[in-house]
Amino acid sequence: MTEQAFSRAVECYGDMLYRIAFHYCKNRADADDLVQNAFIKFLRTKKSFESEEHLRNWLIRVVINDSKKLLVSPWKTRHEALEDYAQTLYAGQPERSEVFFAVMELPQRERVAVHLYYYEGYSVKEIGALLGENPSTVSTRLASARKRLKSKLKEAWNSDE
Amino acid sequence: MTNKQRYQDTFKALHASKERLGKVYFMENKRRKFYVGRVLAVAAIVAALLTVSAFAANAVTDGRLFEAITFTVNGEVTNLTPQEDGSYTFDTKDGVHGSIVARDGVVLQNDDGTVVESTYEVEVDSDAAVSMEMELSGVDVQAGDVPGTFEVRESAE
Repeated sequence: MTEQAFSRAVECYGDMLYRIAFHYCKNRADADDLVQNAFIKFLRTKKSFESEEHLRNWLIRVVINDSKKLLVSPWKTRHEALEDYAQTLYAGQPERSEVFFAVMELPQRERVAVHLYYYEGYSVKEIGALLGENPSTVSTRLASARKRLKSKLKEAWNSDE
Repeated sequence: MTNKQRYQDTFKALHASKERLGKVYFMENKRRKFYVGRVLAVAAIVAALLTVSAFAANAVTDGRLFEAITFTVNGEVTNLTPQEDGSYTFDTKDGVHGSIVARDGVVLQNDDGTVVESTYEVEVDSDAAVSMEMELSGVDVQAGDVPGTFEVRESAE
């Protein structure tokens, strides 16, 4: 693989993978490790990708699988105060900070489903395929997450979406 | 503003470390070069040890008929150790332990127990398998218990 092709993949998918990883582990260092590991696997794989969508879904699957492994690992010891990170991200933007904390307080499975749905634009069926779960389970998680977000964010979160 | 817009506005602020990702390509290339270099270093050691025997064998077998034999060790040789009796023991990365008899250029024995002089060449394939090519001065060669693939070619007239 050429450096140019690799750089293009990093440019296209680096931030997307980081956000997904962060929704799992809730700290910057682990999220960066997970993304770096995904791109190392990308460099080493002999797999040929049929399309951009194929590559994108493969990278997401790698990050999801590695994130799940990390969360059950006895060696996971990193913790980060979300307040510090939110301060650097949303200084002077209380509305965004509020949404950030409300999402981070969701249970991990709901948090990831919400992110894939609202940010990445995946359908319930596609999220089910990525997470290896039944679409009806994903729907239930999304409904539960919406309820929690509405309860936390009040009028800042619409109840009909 | 929709929930989707609100969500995206919030989380678009999160970015991966470009500095770290920028190093991945170079780190991986460096690792590959180190790996290839290590394999070549092993091959060089094998070749250097066996070349000593090749000179001795050439001196003894000059002008005689030869038979070519290719011996392939299955796996990367990680440790080749000369023994006091002139043989070599080796280990492969896959955990195979074996030995090659190579006293003063003699590698193998005929059926009647007489020794067979030889010369050697060693090369490393892309998959890190070590191949050793020997030219032997006799026929009816015994492979013994040397692990790997042993192929005897037609002897010359």
